[in-house]
Formats: sequence, C-alpha cells, structure tokens
Amino acid sequence: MIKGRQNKWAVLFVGPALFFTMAFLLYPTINTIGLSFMDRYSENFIGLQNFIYVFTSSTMLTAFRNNVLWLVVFTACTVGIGLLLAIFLDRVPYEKLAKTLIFMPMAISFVGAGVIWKFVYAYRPPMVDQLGILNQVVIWLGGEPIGWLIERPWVNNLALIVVGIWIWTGFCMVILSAAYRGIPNELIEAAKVDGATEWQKLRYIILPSMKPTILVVAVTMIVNVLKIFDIVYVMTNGQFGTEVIANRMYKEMFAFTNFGRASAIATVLFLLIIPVIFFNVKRMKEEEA
Amino acid sequence: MAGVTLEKVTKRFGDVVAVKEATLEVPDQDFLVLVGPSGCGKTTTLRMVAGLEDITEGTVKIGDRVVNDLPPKDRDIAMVFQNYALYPHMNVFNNMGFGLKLRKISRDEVTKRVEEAARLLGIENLLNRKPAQLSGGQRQRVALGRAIVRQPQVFLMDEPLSNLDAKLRVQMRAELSKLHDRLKTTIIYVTHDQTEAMTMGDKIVVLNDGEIQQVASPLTLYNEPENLFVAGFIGSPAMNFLNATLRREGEEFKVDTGEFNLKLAPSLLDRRPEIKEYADQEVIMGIRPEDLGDAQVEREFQVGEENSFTAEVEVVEPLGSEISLYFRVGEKNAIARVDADSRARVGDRIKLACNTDKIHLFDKETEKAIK
Repeated sequence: MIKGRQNKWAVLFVGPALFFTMAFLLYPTINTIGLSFMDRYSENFIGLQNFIYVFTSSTMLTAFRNNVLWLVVFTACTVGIGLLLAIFLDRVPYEKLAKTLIFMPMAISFVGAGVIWKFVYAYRPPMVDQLGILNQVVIWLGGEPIGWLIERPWVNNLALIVVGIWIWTGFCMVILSAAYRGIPNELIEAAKVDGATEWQKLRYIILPSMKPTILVVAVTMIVNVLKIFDIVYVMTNGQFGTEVIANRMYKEMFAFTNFGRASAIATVLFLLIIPVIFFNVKRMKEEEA
Repeated sequence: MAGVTLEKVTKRFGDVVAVKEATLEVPDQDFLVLVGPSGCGKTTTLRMVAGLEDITEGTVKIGDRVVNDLPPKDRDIAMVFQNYALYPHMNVFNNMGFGLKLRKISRDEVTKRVEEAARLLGIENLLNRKPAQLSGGQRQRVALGRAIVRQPQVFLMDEPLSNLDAKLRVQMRAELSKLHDRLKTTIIYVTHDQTEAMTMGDKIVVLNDGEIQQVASPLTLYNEPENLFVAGFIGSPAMNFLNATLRREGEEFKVDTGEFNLKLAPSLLDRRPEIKEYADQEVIMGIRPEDLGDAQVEREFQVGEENSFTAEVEVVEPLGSEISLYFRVGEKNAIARVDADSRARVGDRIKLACNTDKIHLFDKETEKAIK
C-alpha cells in the first residue's frame, strides 16, 4: 500500500482516470441494468418481464442461435486458418506479400467490408446480368444464381460469417506468426534429433509452445463475436433469420425505442461476456506465477 | 558403439567457407573435443555430424555407414544443446522420454530407461517438475539424461557447460568425464574453453577459421604445438610470443630478442634439429609464462647467466599458489608465472630466468613450429 504523502500524489494521478472510468463505464452499466427492470419508457418497474421476452421471443431465440453459430464457426475458422497460415507461410519466398494481403482487410472498417461483400453476394434473377461476382462464378460453372444473403437458415448466416472471417483472420495470423517465430530454433532441432516427423513436431512441440498465444487470440475472437453487429447491420439488418443479439439491442433501442428491452438485451450480453473475462484474468494470473 | 570419420568435410554458406576439408578419425569410445575461438567452425562441424546442417562436400561416417543423406533421427546420435533445448511444456520425465516415445518404445521400457538415467545423474526426485522450475545445473542434467536414454552410438555436445557458473562448471566437467567412463560411448564435444578441452578430451581438435590446426592429445598440444595459433590458444595464461633472431655461435644457438639473449638448451636442439637451419633468420620465439621464473627464487630449473635477463615489472598479480609478473620486451607485453616466494614489486627491475628447454620457435612467415 502506498503510504502517507505519496497517497496524495497517487490520488492526483489516478483520480481523473478513475473518475472517467466511473462516469462512463461503471455508472452507465449500473444504470442500464436498472433500466432493464423498467418498462418501455423507463416509467414503471416491471420486474423480469423484459428478460422473459429476451429468453422466449422467437426473434431473440433466432438471435441466440445465430450468435452461437458465429461463436463456433467464426472463432474456429479465424484461429484455425490464422494458425495454419502463420505456420505454413513462414517458409515460402512470398511470405511478406501474402501476409500483407491477408492482413489488409483489418484496415477496412467493418461497415466498408460489409458494403464490399454485399456487392460480392449480390443476387439478380437468372435471366439478368449478374452484379455479384460470386453469382457470376456460379453461372460460369453452370449453376443458377443463389441468394447468398437470403437463403436461410445456414447459407446466409455462413455468408455473413465468411465476411467476419475475411476481416479477422489476418489479425490472428499476425499474432500467431509472432508466437510461432518465438519458438527457439533449438527446440525444433532437439525434436528433430529426438526423431519427430513434421506432424509430430507440430503436435508435440509447436502447438503446445504456442498454446498461451492461441488462447489469447481465441478469447479476443470470442469477445469480438459476442458483440458482432456491423456486418449484420449493414448487409442484412437481421432479416431472413440472420439476427444477432447486438443488432436486436440496437433495433429495440433506436428503431422501436423500447428502452427496457434494449437494456435487458444489453445486460444479457454483458452477463455472457463475464465468464470470458474471468477466464482471461485467471489465465493471466497463472502465467504470471 | 561406433567411431566417427570425417573425410574432407566442407561447409559453404554462399561464398563463405565455414569448414574447409576437415578430415578426422574419432575412434570408438573416444572423448573428442573440438575447440577453437568463436566462428572457427566447430559447432558447424558438430551440426554436420548431427544432420542439422547439410554437408557441402565430403563424407561423414558413423561406424561404417555414410550418413550424409540421413536425417538426424536415423543417424543414431543424441545431442546436448548449449541452451539445453528442453521442452518447456513437458515435465522432466516426458522431456527425457520424448525421443523414446516417438520411436514407439514400450511404456515400461521408457520408464525403466528414464529412471535409470535419472539415477545416474542424480535427478530422480525432479521427474515431475517442469524445466522452468529447475536450476541451470539441473536443466543441464535433464538435457544429458535425454541424450543418455536414447543409448546412441555417438553423443554430440555443443558447449553444454558454457551457461553454468564457474563452480558448477568445474563440478560438471568431472561428472561428464566420469559419465564417459561409465557409458563407454563416443563423445564429440564442442567448446571454446581450452581448459575444458584439456581436462576432458582424450583427443583434441583445434580449429581456426574453418581449418583444423592440430589433432592431438592434450599433453602433446601443450608441449608440441604445430603452429603459432595452437601454441597461443592452448595454455592459460597464453604463451608469450617475442620477435627474435636466431644466432649461431659455434655449436651453440642463441635467440636474440633485441633486449637480451638466451642460449637454447642442447636438449631442445636435439628434439628440434630443424632449428639449426634457421641460423641468422628472424623467428618468433614462444615461451610459456610457467617456463619463466624469478631468478632469485626459481627452483624448477637451473638459473645461470645464459638463460636470464632483466626486465621491469609492470603489474604484479598474486594468485596465492604463484605470482604473475607482467613485463615488456621491446614493444611486446609478456607474462611470467613465478614462484609464490618472489618478492618482486611493481617498478622493480628484476632478473628473470627462462627454462630454455621449453622454448618454442616458429617460422616467421608460415607460423609453423620449427621442428
């Protein structure tokens, strides 16, 4: 503990930061949780009714389902593909170019990405010229154009998830690449001398050495995906069964002006993220030990 | 159990030749040391034997097999790395057993071998720990254990003691020598420390700039270095080198350093008859500090007019068992290791004596020893 005179300085330096944290983080959070028990215009206390809506309405259930789909597919693909790229691109001559290209989508805003891919997925009826490149390719391969963002329940959700993967894989790859490069060369050589094949090297040495980083990247992706909003909002606005929790929250708040419901959804989202935060803190503590 | 043979082994990295036509025979069960300054090619040579480095030219044989194109795992070798290269996420037992597990050796056999090696190295109580929980010396033993359980034909060790503190290093040197006696397996050991080389090797290979300078037993390297480099590399403190002219006076030969003359002992001339051909030529004279003495107290060899000279003492380093005196001959600095009874002090002009039987002479141009 800081004692005596230093205490005043500590307060002076930490004070403003603490104040802003309280004002813009803590207070709104508590306030929102409070509002989630109130009605539409925050006039009357209605208990758990908003939460009942959140967990029983069909739109919300679709949103939960989609978020789970995002959670599984998005995380697995971004981390998995990022890992594969990090390992395999390490040895090729065009490594720098490839990595730059794969990372570039990170530089585009999610809204921008959404707009780009909306064109890629664009659908026109079969007799008309196609606008979207994907459908053009389908026609060249002899098929009929597909409503990528319309076909439910899997095609359109996966189409949206692909956009997310396109954006975030570069991020995972870059971080995992640093971890991969950080493995001491001697370790790989010791494995070689011990008799490991390429696959055994990967399984017993490389992946275990990278485990802390893989975990960090996965957690970051999970936190990202629980909040996913921009892509869905821009490309489908949640139509055709592509709704996600954050988009619902936005709609309830700004389209339907139901403060109570919006707050309830926000609270549920907050509760969903808490275990992830705990896991992260626990992991960081373990690493420090 | 197998010996190792290198025939004109060369390694090129682009235009740089790291190892030039190294030819070497390591008899089975020998402890061979590769020693030399940083960048001399000793580690590269070891890695070529291990299979971690491609061989540009020449052949490497382990036993009777030519192993040039075999990957490390098929060469039946085990390696101990300078930084131990222990797998950080596995405990000691798994670190040691990893190679065996990959070869699909039965769990019982793995346990048996690991426990045996652990007992040999005194680490049986560490089997459940992870490398991060071990001290440097313990990690080093685990690295050794990992190599031992493989029961290879050859052990390859790349400066395994260089990361240990001085005291531990001395201890481990003795233990490694004992281990070698017990295991009766060929060991090829790389170090830059000539003390390690001298104390541990049956045979030593001195390398410089990618070329083998001399291959001999420690004592031979010490007493009969073949060239200037080996003479200056082996022995600590290093041999003193002085420029001198060889003069003949009848049947006697003297070295004239410009400041003083020393008559060469007849026994030296008998051993090195070629010296006589260098009369009136400039040579490089080498004399080890331990073969110089304080004329007043020197007991190990005869002191007379013909093998003494005066010099001014610049630095006195008392070591307890002896004293190092630093002095100058012309522009060259030199060191004498004299008896602890010497009372020389800084600034004194004292009489130093030289054991002229132990003078080494080198050809000024080729730098080879005059034999």
